[in-house]
Amino acid sequence: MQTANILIVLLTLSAVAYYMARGRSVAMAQSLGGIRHLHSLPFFYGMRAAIWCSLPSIALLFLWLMFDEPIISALLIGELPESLQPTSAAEHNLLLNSIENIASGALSAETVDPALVAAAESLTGLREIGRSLLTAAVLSTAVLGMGWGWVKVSPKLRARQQVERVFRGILLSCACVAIFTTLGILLSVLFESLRFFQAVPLSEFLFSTEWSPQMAIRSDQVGSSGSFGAIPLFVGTLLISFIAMFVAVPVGLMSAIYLAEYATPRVRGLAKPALEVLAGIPTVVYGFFAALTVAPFLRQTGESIGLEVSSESALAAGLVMGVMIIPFISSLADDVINAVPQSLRDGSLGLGATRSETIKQVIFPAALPGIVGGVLLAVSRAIGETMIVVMAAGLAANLTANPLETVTTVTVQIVTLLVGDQEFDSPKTLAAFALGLMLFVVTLVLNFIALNVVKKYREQYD
Amino acid sequence: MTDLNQSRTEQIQRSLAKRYRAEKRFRLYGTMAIAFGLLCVVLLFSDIISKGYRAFQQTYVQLEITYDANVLGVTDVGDSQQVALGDFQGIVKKALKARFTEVAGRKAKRDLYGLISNGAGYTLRDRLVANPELLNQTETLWLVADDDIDTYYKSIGSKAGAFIGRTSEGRQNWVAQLVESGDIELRFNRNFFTHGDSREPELAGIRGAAMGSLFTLVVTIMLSFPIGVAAAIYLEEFAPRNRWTDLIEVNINNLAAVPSIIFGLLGLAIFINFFHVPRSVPLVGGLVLTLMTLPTIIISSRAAIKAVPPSIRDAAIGVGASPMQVVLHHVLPLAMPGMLTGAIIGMAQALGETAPLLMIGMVAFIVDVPGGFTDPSTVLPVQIFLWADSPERAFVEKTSAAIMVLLTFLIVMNTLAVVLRKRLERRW
Amino acid sequence: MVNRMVMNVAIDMPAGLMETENEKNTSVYPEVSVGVPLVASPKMSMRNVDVFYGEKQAIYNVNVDIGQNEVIAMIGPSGCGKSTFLRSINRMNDTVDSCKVTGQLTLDGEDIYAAKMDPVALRARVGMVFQKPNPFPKTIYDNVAYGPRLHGLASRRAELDEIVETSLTRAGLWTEVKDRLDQPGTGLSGGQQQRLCIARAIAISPEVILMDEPCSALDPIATAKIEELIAELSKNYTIAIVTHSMQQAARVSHRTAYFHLGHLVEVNETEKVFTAPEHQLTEAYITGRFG
Repeated sequence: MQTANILIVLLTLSAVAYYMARGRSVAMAQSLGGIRHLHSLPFFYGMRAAIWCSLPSIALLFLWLMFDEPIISALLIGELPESLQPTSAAEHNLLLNSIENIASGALSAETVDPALVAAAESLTGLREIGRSLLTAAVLSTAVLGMGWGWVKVSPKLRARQQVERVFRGILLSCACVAIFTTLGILLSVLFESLRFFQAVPLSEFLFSTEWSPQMAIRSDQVGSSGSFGAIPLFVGTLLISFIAMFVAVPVGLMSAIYLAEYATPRVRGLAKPALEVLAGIPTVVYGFFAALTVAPFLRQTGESIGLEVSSESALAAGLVMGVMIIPFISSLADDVINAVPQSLRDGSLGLGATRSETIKQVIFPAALPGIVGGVLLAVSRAIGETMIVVMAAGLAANLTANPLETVTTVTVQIVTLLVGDQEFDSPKTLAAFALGLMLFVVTLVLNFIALNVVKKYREQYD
Repeated sequence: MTDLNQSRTEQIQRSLAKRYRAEKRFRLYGTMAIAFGLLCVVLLFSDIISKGYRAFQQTYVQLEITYDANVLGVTDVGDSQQVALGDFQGIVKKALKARFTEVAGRKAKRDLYGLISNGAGYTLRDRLVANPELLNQTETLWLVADDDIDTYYKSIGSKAGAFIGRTSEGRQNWVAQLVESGDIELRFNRNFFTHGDSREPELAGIRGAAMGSLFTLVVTIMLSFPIGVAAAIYLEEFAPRNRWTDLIEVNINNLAAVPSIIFGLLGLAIFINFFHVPRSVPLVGGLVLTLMTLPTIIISSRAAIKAVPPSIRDAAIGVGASPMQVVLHHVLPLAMPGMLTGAIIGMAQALGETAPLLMIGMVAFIVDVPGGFTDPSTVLPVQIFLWADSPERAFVEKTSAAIMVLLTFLIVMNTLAVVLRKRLERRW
Repeated sequence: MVNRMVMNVAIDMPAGLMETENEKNTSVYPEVSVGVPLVASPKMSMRNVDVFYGEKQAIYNVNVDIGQNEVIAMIGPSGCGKSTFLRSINRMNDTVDSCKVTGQLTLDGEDIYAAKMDPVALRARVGMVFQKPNPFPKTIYDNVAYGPRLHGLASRRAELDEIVETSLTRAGLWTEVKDRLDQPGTGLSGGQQQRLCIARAIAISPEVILMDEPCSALDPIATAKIEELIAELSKNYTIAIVTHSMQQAARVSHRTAYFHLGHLVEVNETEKVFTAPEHQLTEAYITGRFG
């Protein structure tokens, strides 16, 4: 049976289990003289049976699905004659692919090694057996669970407590998904990064200024080793982020101040959502805008005043990224400014301060920690932003602080290294994970600091 | 005393003008900041729209087509093998030759054949299969023009002057002739909404990407909404105050700010390389986006649950409800509108996301419209990225049009969220 | 005096007021406040003042004077408009968009709401102390120096130091804080914070100081200190204080004004108000029948 069908059958069985156990409890209750003689409501007896029916069988199903393919392929490879045994991971994958293709008929069986054809046949056979076994195992588990749920129904059974415990367990495991995600990110980037640092020393990665990850196909080619000094990427990332913040911080902050302190409710009601439209636009759209509108415009403007502007200049990407971050800063700053108590405003105005004096000398200093937190969050966003730089910044790893030249960033390199065909053991691919690790660690630290600063600030005025 | 007051008041008055100038200046900065932001919104939209609105129309050329059995090599329309191999492009060429009899020479002819899109043959084939009686008959048909012709024709009469690009003088002449005889016109571009991707701009459409987005979002919402709501319920209603709970909270808050590309790396390393989920499919895209949108959904769901006043819980507990019953009967229904709003916003975020999907291979060139969760596919934003990278000028128009479609979806979703929040808002 | 009371019910009277009358059988608001609302050569005078929040009227036709160097207390049940009225006197209500003030308010004969009257300059002359102590998140010194710096009252540092010292001394805080002027004002105790706010207000030598329930957030000992301070300040300043504590009004003020749901019912010498109120509403309030 197909996985989806198995799931449907399981659902039906669970429903049956629910009604049977519920019915049994009601019947028992009647003979005792009413539902109040049961420990729990009939609903809980039903739910308990349904849980027994579905949970173990679903767990079994997923475990099976997770491990059946690796086991089948191991069996297949084991059956192959010595001459065909793979020697590397890449060859292993290739071999499995061709067997798969023969089995599905995409590759004609006449042209290949008969051993592979045999393997393909046994693959089909094994899969069929696997399917039937799986169906049988899962369904019998479900039926057993259902029976157990039915048999155990008794007036003394603490069904409600048991159901609620399972319910809580499910909720807890959902909450833990966040932890597993973080763990998954850490493990995946850390593991591949370690492999990368076996090939390329950490000191070279962190301190060398040469970045050219092209690995030659033949070992006698020039530059066969590639060089992995990430300094130009860090500098490029910082340069673009700096330009972005240079646009976003003043504009975002002043917009927030204007909206919070000056704007009439009507203007605020119109301008705030209009600004937030900028936050809702996908980054790929900004990238398109940067690459096809802003960059050519800057180039032409530069030409007309005699400046050489690269068509993939850091300036174009940075400016557009700044525009993207404006609403982010303005809404965070707006929150923070609104959290400054009205009494401080009154105090200052009551002394005869103008509004701008009140803002500059009282509100801004009071809101500063929160604003700093918001700006840090925005910096972390700028550093991790991908699409704008992929589309508008270049690939050339120049070590420069000139915003008119082309620079590349960490995220651009991750994308370039990983998009397209990859071999999983070349340093070129692994370098992407090392860059990912750097990115993750840096943004994590920034976020952590920023969130704590903002939290402290909130508590101050709560 | 009064004299002293007098002098002090004067002192204050003297500095006032300067202070008011500063006030005005400051206010001006604020207005300028707002104006700049709004200007960016307007610029962005007008730029995209001005670039893309023409993509909804396509240049068609009217030709007299003869379904010549000899040219086609088709004798029996019922024979699918024959029809599949039939030279339908050949009858288009013949029609063109008949229309422009003066054209001679190989180069000029090749140039001429390029007036009509390569896709025209498929249109004719489908027509013939649907109407077998057309074999050896002649009919007048509007056929899709090549993208260069499309770009050229659309730019004729524009202020900047016609965009010539790769359009040779011969072709310009032919177009002029067609214009004169009324055999060339702009029609609604159906292909854009019914086709998958293509290397030929005039045949490329967004249906494949839109379906890919749909399947991906279905996976995302099916996973992230239940998990997110469950996590929020746990944290708000059941979680004990301990280190483990703190750890979960810190994790959620941090994940909300982790760059999206990192989730792509996670998807690549865990789902694809470890669990061997196939690449480029909506299933794995949905999984990655689930992890990415979960923090958003958890945070907004928690806010919704927090907004349910404790008095309602107290009332339910007071009549003997168990914690689970309190949650299922009271908290969840009351918090549902807020949770849904959060979910819609999370989905809008997922719909616009590109970077993590690049990592898991959803950038492949896929012509077929996906039909399920495990068919290779791409999504709208990635399609935009792919087209933006294409050298053909006609793709600029398509890209902008695809962006307009994407933005329309996003605006609809966000409006829905706002309306939902407004309508179901409850004041306790 | 009774003949001043007009017994017809005002048409614009909110529905809630009618109930009060029917149930308590007290008298209707006087068209003109009873007692002695007007004085000879007032520092400030208010005539026919109405205050609206959008459609809602908060103050009805108030006429009252504040004399030079007098302490006038405004009392009344909460929500009676006394704070709103106080905030109209230095145009703090300007910051509330929906708020509209009509009538004639003058300071030394100058119309406060005249077009040429500058609210910033006005507030420098009519200072304000708020209900909750609201020191700025700055040092104690900077808190007091804030106003003088804004208005350019000191040209040299020494001058500023002197202003800070005198203000803190007058506010009775100097000895407590002179060694820690560079510490944040928010680190002081509640009573000290409020005295710091008073020091901040008098640092720009206003002619009138408005106090909006200055002791409501303070403990009795801190309250006593502030009350002493008010008595001391009244030698040099004109003070209007809003309070919901009748005892406080009795202790600190020369005259007392009783507000009831937006109407100024009675103004008189403090002693008279508390011993022989002329209006039934006032009597009902001070004898504790409501409030």
